[in-house]
Amino acid sequence: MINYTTEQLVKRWEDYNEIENIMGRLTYNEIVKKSDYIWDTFWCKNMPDPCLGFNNGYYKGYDAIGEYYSALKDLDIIKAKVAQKIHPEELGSVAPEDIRGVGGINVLNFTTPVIELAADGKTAKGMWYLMGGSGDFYTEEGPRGTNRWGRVAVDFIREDTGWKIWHMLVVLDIDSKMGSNWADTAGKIVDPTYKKITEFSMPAPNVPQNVYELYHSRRRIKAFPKVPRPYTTFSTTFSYGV
Amino acid sequence: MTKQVMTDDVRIGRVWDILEIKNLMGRHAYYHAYDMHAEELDELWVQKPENQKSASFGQNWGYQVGMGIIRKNYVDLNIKWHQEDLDKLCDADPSLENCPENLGIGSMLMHILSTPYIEIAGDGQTAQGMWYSPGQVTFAYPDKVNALWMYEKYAVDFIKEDGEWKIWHLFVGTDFILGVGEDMTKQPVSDTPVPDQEPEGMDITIPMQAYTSRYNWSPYPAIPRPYETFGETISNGPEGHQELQKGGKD
Repeated sequence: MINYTTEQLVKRWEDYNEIENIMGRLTYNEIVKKSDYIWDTFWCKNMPDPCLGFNNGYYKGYDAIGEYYSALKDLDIIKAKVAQKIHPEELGSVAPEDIRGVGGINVLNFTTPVIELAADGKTAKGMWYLMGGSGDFYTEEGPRGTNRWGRVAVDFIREDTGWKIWHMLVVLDIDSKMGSNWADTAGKIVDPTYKKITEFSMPAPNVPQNVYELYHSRRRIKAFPKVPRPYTTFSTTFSYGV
Repeated sequence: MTKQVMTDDVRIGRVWDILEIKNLMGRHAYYHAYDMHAEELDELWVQKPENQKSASFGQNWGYQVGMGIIRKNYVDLNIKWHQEDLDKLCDADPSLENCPENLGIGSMLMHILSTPYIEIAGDGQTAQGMWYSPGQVTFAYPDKVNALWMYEKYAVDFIKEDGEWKIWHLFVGTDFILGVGEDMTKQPVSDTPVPDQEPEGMDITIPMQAYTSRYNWSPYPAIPRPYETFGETISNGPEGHQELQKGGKD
């Protein structure tokens, strides 16, 4: 056990708070669909190989992650145009960019934190359980409420402008329609009104792999991602990136 | 409790006590979800013999007291239940291999921790915390998957051992269990929403109705209050329940 000075403990407490605030700011910016702001503000700028991982693989490197966030913005614009067609009187006279995010809310409710600051104060690791949910009028199925529960693990790096995300892993246990059993495997029923949304596809991870399976009745229990443990410097711990 | 003047180093130490306790409970939640129960008891719960003797794990139907019985239920019985479930699944589906790697297959749980309220004792040796837990448990059977919402209150006593916080008394009071997609108002009002008997095979040191949500009222566990030493607060172990039945310590 390391004995820190009072001054060091105060500084480390400030670091802890800043990291908690990053995750809170992610949540509230996601709610208002500021995907470009999230990418510009909360991600590192000077580290090698930043990574954003999901169940089906990793976006590795600045270009791949940037394209992912850019595609989120493009999808929001497509949804805004669909909304304008459905509600021309209310929404038809404005630019789609001005109603970006209309009809949808995605809440990244981060709970159950475990946060470890490296003893050297240069990096930190955090883990949260995502009790997420979304309500969206404009999906390929039409209006839909979705439970999204899963594990979120992040490596943070201290850069000149403050703490930043270096590696982030978001692996879902549950991604199912609200009110339904998440073991149900019924396929989506596509509504032709929302054809434009169906035609859009997100860029695939540039490191595709089966990182983590959504719940199914033959899924094994998987102790993943590892829970952060106290560590001295990043080279002595595991990474949430690839 | 009299208000003490604390030095800055004591004050920041107490701030870190709270953060470390949050991390400790977060680890408990993940170890439980990861089925790492033996690791949880070895790393997160009390290790000193005098504390292990009085450690407790309480639920609606009573208390397990002592680390021996807690381990027997939380580790050994859990493995036994997994094996029984796997045997049934394999009987119904011969393509499924009956091997240790498949213990727990098709099961999933997560007891989220939200709304923390933590009090560090004035003497810094113990702490009490309360969390609310929205959660889910999911089990696969040969003919169906049972997916349930489970909402619970966590009340925990912590004790410092050689500078590290450990779980000493853990109480989990379940408020309701509801099938995913089911209408809560359709539950029969005459029943307790949560079983008031321990699951089959579980050893309980003090069987009793320690918690009930039948009328959405239960005096236990007590909401923590500032306190100086553990002797002047209400324990989240079974003795705290007795104290509250007598009217508490105020």
